[in-house]
Amino acid sequence: MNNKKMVGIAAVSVLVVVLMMSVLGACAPTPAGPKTLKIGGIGTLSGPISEIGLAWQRGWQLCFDKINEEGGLKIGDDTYMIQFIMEDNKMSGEGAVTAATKLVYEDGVKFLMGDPVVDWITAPIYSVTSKAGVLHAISYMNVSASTPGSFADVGPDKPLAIRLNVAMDECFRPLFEYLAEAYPDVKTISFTIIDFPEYGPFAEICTALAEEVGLKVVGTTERFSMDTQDFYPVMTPVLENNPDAVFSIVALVQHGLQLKAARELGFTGPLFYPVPADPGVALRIAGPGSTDLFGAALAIDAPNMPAQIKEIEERWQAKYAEEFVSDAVFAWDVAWILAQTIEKSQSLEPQVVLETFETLTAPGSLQSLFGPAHVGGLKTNGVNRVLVKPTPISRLIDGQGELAGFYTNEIP
Amino acid sequence: MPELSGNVLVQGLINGLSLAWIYILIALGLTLILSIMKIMQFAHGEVYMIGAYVVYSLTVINGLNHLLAMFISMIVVAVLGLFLERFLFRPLQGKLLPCICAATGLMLILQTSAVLGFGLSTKHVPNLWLGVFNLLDWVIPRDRFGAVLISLALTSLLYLFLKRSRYGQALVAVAQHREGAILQGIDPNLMSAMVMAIGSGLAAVGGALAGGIFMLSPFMGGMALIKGILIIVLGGMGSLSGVVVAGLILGLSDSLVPPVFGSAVALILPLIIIIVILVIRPWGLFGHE
Repeated sequence: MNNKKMVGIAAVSVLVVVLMMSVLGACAPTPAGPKTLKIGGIGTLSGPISEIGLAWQRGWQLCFDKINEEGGLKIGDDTYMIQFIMEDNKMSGEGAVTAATKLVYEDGVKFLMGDPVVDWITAPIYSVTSKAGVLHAISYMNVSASTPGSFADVGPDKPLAIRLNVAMDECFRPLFEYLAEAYPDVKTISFTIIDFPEYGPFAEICTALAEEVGLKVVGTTERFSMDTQDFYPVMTPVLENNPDAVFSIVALVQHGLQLKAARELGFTGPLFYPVPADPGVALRIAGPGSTDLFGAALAIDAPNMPAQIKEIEERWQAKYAEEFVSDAVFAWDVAWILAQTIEKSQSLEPQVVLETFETLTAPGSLQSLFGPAHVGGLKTNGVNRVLVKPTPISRLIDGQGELAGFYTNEIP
Repeated sequence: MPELSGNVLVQGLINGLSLAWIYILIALGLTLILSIMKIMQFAHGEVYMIGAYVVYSLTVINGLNHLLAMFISMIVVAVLGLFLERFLFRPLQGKLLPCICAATGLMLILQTSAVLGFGLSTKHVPNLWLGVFNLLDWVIPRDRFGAVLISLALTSLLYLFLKRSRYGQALVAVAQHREGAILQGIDPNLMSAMVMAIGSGLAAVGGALAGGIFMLSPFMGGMALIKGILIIVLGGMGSLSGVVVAGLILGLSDSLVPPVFGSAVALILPLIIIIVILVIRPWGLFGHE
């Protein structure tokens, strides 16, 4: 063989090898990059209660940040990074519909959380998500299906909605039981309730609960508006009947204003409330030595706060460098439960995720920041689509916040 | 109708008086500005809010004495009033619609500035005086009592200023007949600047007092403005006595109506009272036909 022929054979061989390698290379599976899963949130980001909406937005975002840092959601062979998109409901049902429409039809979210404050904004969100086949993950509820007149809670009539938080009225029982346990000398109680029409049955429900734990209700229930800041006119008639304790269904930081008025009018007993408002906030209003105030909330400065919750505060400080609002913890928990459910379903189809959620009825099927959680509600709501998790109770004692504990909640 | 016991009535009266005097401070400024400058300062509630935030930053952030902080706030906000008069309202004087637009825009700018500067979270100014004292078995909160004293003192000073000082008389003259006052050599721009400074300073003190009793929020000015407008409409445009009497009616109604009729009625009853009075006297209680 001459040299020319040898070079020709070598060149053809190299070409064949290169071609084969290219073909084989093209056939081999390439590692796929992470995909994006869009999740939407709706809350009030403007106006007087925007502090709460902003805290929820940040809590949701911080949770998804952590999930993304840890590698995202694993669905089958794919990995999804969560892109969280928040919209403002402008504190109106109409605003909620606009926000939901934008998230569903423009952004293409398949999972939508909200509203974190009021039921009459939660309900309109569902009117958009249900038509679009999007799963509505209700984030907070004031009046659950256990109270007559509830209109926004999950049920058989809302086939694409789940609730990922314990409702405000579902916290009544743990609070009354805690009152009986922590304040055995309390024998009489009075109520003050915000005058939302849907809160009408609460006086009767609370009376029954009080009687169950051996308390006598004294006086008539005093009602006040959401805008009330001056609680002298509310607390004066309440304290006329000398109750040993006062249960107050308040909004935002009204617990501090009520405590201030009650203490100034000479009331020394415990005052408690069912909303997730940090009792420590009351210190700024009612004075540094404020005591015996407790609620279904987190006293974020409590020395015994679990590390997992402290971590949320640290992440908040690192990212936003602003005063921490404890509502963010409740928001984080909702986002975390939703992420767990999606991962357990191994699907991004809202219907499949919902069906998976309905099966998680064994205690500990899900993990919440407040302890083991599961799904319930079949008897109360007619469907198993309500998250059951422990209720945190925190209190102020001599100006210091403390976490009393996480109390079992049953939603049959 | 629920029973109104003696204690509830007396506590309501005490409470109503303190509320009334805070309302009066806001309405005094508003009525002065309206009388002299012929504009409705829709951002007056936000001026009141800024006054409260100045006190908050001086006391909570810088640890200054509360009374001193309130005095500084009054001066700072009065200077803000001067600035607004010179660069915003004076060029628009006599132009109704641009004035309304400017005041409304200013309202939003001040609200947003407060959100950016202090965040959305509700704040609280430390109490002027914490705790209560008892007078004839009635509980009197020190902070509310202090608010009444301070407001009463400022209102009295304003009254003396208007009745006894040369500048005060000049203000009254401009309010009564602007052209006549100008012919007498009174500078209307100086008078406008003066009422903006006085009105803003009074609103600042009102905000600081309310911030100690209630809460601070960038949106606290809205309700204050509504109360202020109700008072000057009820009392009669430009009447100081009218402002005081209407402020007392509104304050007492806000504190006495809720325990008897409930909060829903409390929201509408003052408006019904005002409508009835205005039907009988369209120029208000102390206004002129």
